[in-house]
Amino acid sequence: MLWLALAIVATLWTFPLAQSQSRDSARRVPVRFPPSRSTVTLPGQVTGYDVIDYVIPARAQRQLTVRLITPSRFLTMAVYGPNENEICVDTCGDRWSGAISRPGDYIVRVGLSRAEARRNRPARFQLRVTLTSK
Amino acid sequence: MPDGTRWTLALAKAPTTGASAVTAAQDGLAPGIQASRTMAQKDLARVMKIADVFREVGTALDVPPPLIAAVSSRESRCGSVLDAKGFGDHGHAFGILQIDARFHTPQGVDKGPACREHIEQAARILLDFRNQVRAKHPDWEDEFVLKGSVAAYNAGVSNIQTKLGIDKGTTGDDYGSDVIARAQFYSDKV
Repeated sequence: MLWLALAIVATLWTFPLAQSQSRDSARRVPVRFPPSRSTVTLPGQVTGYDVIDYVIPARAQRQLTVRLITPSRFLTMAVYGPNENEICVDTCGDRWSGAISRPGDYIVRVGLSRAEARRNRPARFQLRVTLTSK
Repeated sequence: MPDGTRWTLALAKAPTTGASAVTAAQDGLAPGIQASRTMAQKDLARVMKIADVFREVGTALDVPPPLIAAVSSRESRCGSVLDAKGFGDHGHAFGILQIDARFHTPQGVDKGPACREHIEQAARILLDFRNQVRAKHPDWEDEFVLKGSVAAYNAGVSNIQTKLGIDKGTTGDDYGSDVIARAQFYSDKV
């Protein structure tokens, strides 16, 4: 009976984690620009259900442009404003540009569509981030 | 022509080969349209319990209600394969329509996997994909745009490149065809 009790406890312990793992497990990459440069290109790779969050601290009155460069047909990019407010999800395509109205951390999330995530194959990409004065 | 009629006609005209061998095998069936219809039939009782919500949301957003019902059948057997909190796909997706929780904030998590908020969120995503496929392929007939939007729901818009290859790269390489066949089955029911 002890093993059964332990199994039940283990199941109850891990169940809530399974519900929230999607976003909490995102790898976070702070975006830093080289001195006197407004553009940076970051290489990346995701596999399976992994997502990478590129965190861009931005002040108001700036223009943020992000571009996803990849040969993969299954990569998805999403952009979130401060407090993870959705700016574009599913509708960004491979490029998004917008004026920063609220200062804070902007997040560009990159991952594979669920169809490809299930196949657990890696996909390489480059994320080009440009932050300029308006 | 009212858009509601337009997309309902597109659904009726949409070409389909039904479920692939991979998808049909999940229910021990031979591939084809009949397999999709049989799977849709198995889910019919669960679908009909929330048919009113499919109709109301679909009509409001101009997405054919049978299409939303068919996505629920394909994604989660209209809820029967979800865990106790309404998640599936190893905890990565919520609800009968399996909103990808890695990218979206799923709506209605506290109300259950078949709640109106969830169905409305998914229908909006389908609508977004339809608009994107239209913009990407302005020369496509409506039936291909509609089928492409369904395939994009599974594999993304970037993967929608040719009419003949709409389902290439989707789960089971049949997502659009299977959902369209299930939706055509639901057309006189939902």
